[in-house]
Amino acid sequence: MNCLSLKYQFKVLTQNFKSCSIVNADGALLYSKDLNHSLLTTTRLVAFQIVKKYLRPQPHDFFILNDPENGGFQYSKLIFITSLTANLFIVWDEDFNNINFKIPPTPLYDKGVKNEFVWKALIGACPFADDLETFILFQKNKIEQMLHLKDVVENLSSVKSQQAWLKATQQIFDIQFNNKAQGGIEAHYKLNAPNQTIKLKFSAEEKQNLKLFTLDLTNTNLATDVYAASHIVESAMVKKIIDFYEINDYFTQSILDKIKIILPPRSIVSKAHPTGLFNLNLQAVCSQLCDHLLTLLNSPTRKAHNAFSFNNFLTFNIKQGAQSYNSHINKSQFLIDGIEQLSNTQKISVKTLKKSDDESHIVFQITCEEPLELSILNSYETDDSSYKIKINSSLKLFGTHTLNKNDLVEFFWSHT
Amino acid sequence: MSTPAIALYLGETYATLGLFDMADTSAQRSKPTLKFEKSVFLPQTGLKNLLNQTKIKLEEEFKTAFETVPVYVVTKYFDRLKQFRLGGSISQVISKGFENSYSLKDSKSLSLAASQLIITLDKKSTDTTFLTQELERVKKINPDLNKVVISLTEDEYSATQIEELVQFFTKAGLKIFLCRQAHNQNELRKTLLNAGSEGTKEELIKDFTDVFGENTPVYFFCQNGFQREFENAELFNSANNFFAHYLKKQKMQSCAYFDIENFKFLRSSLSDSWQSPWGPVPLNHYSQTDLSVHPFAELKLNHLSMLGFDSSVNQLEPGPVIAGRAIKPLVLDLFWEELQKTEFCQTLFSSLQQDTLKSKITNILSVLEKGQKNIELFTSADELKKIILVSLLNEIKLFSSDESVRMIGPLAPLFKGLIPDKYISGFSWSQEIMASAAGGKA
Repeated sequence: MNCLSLKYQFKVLTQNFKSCSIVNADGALLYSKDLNHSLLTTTRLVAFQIVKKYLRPQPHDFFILNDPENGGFQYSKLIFITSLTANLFIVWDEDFNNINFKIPPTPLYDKGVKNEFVWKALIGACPFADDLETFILFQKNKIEQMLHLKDVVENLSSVKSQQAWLKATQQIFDIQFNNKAQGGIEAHYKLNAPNQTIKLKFSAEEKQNLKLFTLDLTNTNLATDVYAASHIVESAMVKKIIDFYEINDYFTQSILDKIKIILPPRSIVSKAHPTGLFNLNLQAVCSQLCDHLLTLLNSPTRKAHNAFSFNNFLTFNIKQGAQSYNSHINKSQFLIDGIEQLSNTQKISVKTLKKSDDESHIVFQITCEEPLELSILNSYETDDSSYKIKINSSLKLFGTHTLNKNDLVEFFWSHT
Repeated sequence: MSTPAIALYLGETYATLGLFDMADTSAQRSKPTLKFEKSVFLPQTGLKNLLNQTKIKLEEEFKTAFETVPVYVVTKYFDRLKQFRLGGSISQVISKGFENSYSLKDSKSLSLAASQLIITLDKKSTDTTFLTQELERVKKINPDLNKVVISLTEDEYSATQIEELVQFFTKAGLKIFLCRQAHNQNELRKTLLNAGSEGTKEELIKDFTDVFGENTPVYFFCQNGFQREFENAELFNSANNFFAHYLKKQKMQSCAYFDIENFKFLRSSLSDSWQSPWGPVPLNHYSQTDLSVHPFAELKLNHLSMLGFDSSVNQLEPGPVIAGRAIKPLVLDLFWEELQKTEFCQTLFSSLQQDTLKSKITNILSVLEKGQKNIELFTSADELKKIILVSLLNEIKLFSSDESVRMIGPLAPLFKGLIPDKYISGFSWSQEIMASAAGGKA
């Protein structure tokens, strides 16, 4: 079976998803993609193993979960698992911002038949039942569309094709591993609290014909206030490795098995937070640490004193009733379409809107009667930061803030 | 009594023109009669050249002079603008504090207005001395500046003040584009886009009037049919809107369309917001889905030394190797053997019949094949062709539950052998455009 042909079969099968993994009955990863800001590669694999262990999925079963302490990411990030055939499963995640409660692994469809009891209990009881039902039916429809590709699903389910694919991706990994530097290197990042340091030792080594990446976080401090589950941190670091080695479309279990991640128990990077509050922050820190070490290891002018410096970012969400507007700003991205929508729907009145090559500045006044809720999801910490949010001239940091009629909100960010 | 009319499809890289007699009753036809038809590959033969050839044919076929010859245009040509920063010859008049406010996205992304050409008004003033100074300043930066977008709110500036501004800039010889909802970024973007694409539209119309006379009526296909008056932003969806009209006429839910610059799945979903490369624009339009393989994607060995193709298209010129000049092979070149048999490609790429070109393509593909280092990851050019076609078919199946989706367009015959022949049919731009124009002029 031609490797390229298999790649395009996986690509077309997952075309309707931005963030998904395909696994076989053993849980071996066959294909994965993460095109969203939050990364869930290993989170999805953990979710699959939980469902496999406790709910024994059958073809056309359809499960949902979101519990951050049990294989989930955060409440609003719904993880779906469905069995396309007995040997082919897809796990994917989608945001539904109104969910603010825990959903344990739950079967929505049993062998393609709607589980009425679960629907009534889970969806019927919600204040936004109609929206949630439409959302879930949309997800189910994506699976129906996948099943139009009978030949592809059948072929990718076959053990022979899977073995050929895993073997090909193993070869691709070998090529790419040999193209980069080998050795070990380490760096650390101090969180804004005493005794809260993340230490990462990275190595890429070949011993006795075994090519292996080791990401050792043994010396990271125990968790106090800020922490996240191990699969959250793993997802971020694994993504950075496959990006750096340019093996995205070929990322399978053959490669995952070559990445060894050591996480001390109950540490900042291995303790599940009940709501996943710090997931984005810690993914950013670990991802950047990993990137820093990979770049340094492969730099011809590697210098030990090249210290790690964290590039901050700003993620916030403005919510009103069932409507939610996510925004993300970092050095290279300004995804704030939500503010435009609020302005265009006259919920806010823009007072200043200025953009230059170096900085942007927006001031708006709340004009709607119903309060808005502003949630800042990362800490940009200081007054000197490149990012600032002020409400009625008062600087606001991590957390949720209510915006009432006539409040004046100011965002500032520099592009450099 | 003969009545000539011209149907033109103007794509990004090729144009197809048909000269018709709308009132030929010689054979008691109910449809306009095709008198002349020609397709050209635009990087090699310009539109004006095609129009001049048509003029000669017009005189030969009709043997009489006509005061006006209507031209009906469906276009995808404006997609060419999607990769450029627009607004180089446009000044923007805007309130202080709202500079460059049409988008809050990264300043490196596609631009619709040049920040150096902004005229900022302060203190609710429209003072003529200030305006004159500012106009001199922006004219120094770009002496070719000929358009102005005025985006001021009526909360801050009275209708009289805005009218005074309009008069000032009109007197200065600038074409005015007025945005009446200045604080609505979507509306502002649309106005800037209307201004930014005005030059391209005017150039096209000038090509027609230069050849066929200054009174030539030129109708562009917009959402509601062929129109002479429209907003320029509508031209970006002209071809997609026409496809929607075609599906409706054929009573089809969906179909797939293949030509040398488009592999599309047509399903016609009506939307009131266009997700343009510059940001959302409020515009009623029909959207169609581009399939994930582009015929102009470059064939190459990837970083793993495997034969493959790019996921996006960097440039449309010089085009494929089969057109004669290029040396970088594109997806289209993989299918050279099949394409040389189609009448459409024989007209478009006349050099494809030359043995030297055929051996050039064979050599290029052979070099790519042999460049693959790992024999176990090897893909031959023939295998890649099949992978591409099967992948396109799978993508179409993913979009449509209907097993019998029809393939239309000049390249639809590529699927012969993979699907039953009855699902493959041609598509003549000239005939379809003229049938639509004859069916009802807007």
